[in-house]
Amino acid sequence: MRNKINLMAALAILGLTLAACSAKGTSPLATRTISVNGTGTVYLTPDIAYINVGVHTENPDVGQAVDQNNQKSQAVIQAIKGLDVADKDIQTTNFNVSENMQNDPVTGAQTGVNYLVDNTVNVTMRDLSKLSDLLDAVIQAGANYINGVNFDLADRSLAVQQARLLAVQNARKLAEDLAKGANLSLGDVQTLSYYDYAPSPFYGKGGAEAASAASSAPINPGQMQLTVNVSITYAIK
Amino acid sequence: MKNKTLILTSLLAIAILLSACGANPAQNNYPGFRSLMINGNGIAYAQPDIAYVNISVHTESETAVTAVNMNNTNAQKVLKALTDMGVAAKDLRTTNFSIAALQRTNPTTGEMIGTYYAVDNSIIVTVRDLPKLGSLLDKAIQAGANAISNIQFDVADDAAALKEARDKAMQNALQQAGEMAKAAGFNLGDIQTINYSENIPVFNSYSSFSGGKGGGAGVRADAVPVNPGQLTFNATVSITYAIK
Repeated sequence: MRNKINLMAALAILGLTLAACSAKGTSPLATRTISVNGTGTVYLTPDIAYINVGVHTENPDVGQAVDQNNQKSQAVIQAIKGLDVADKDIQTTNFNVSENMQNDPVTGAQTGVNYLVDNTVNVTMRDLSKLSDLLDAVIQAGANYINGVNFDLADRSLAVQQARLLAVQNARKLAEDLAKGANLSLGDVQTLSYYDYAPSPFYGKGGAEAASAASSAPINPGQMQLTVNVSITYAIK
Repeated sequence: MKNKTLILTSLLAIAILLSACGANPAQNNYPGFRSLMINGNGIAYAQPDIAYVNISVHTESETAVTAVNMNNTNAQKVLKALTDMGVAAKDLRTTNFSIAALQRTNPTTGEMIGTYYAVDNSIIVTVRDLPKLGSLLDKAIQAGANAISNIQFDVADDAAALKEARDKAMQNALQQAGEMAKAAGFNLGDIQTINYSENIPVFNSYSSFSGGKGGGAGVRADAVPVNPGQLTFNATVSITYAIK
């Protein structure tokens, strides 16, 4: 009798195991899902510019090359400050003295040495309407090296918020579209991940308002674009 | 004794069944059930309606101030030519303004004969009226632009093209799944997962230009012949089905 019970129990376990096994076979995943990536792009009008401004001098005497450079560099800094640029927005990025050998091209003999001195500052200009004046002023003051005008937005937080919202809306639209195509409907969001935004290629096709164009050195901020990506996984109902 | 043997046999059977249950069919992403994975592709084409072009004024002189002044005069003329062609301020973006000191050398002796200054002012222009692109480039050059590079084409609204590519990809995936099931002799169960990715064209002047045949119909002699070609949008839908 006892053995018979044991046998029954064993068979019951066998049955349950089989049931568990086949159950897994017909309902394979805990949640069926649709995964999409959504992109949100907003177009912005820049409100700051970064410019590298420098003075380059050359002299056979290293002391004189440096003195000349110092004088002109000071004049350039004064000119920048004259346009209400704060100290914190003027940063020295390069001070460099180097030797340049002069050779007789036929004999190869050294005919002299020239010293090259460079002093470069990075200026953050927060008043874009004065950008052209700034370029004029530094050139008048003796700047003979300028590299690049790069535009930026001082506070991106609102723009990022808008772009993020758009990205989520676009992802939702995309998922609905796919679900419809496969005759399914969307359930709850299962996972959402958000990628950092990449600011500004230098052009965009959208419609930001534009800042006014320039006076002597024509400089145009145009518009920049900011893009946010989100990945969303929805359950399938 | 006989019963004991029976129990042992039963336990053995359970063990075998459990191990079968846990067995993982080769290369199955969802262990424990049979599945079919399909990738559907869709391609759509769109006619560009926007162009981006880099336009620069480059000047050189013995002094920085002269080089800048020459540059400013020409850059202003170029800017005026572009605004006269109807380009809005937001579609003009300065990408570079630079002054650089360079060494001039005597080409025969190789001797350094002095320093000169090179000034560059570059803008990226978004042209929204493509039929005017050729004459716009022409006007810019006449106004003093002496470096033009990197023409790229784009569509202002790519939603329709992407939708078309997506629908085609979905149709392609559903059709493939049906064919596969029939060929392999099983029935399709529920869709378990759908993954979607799309490929928006990377702006590249070389792939965007249609080759050959410079200056087709309607291109005037005083305009630069420019051919926008077409843009390609790719969509991929990956579907996992349960197998019934």
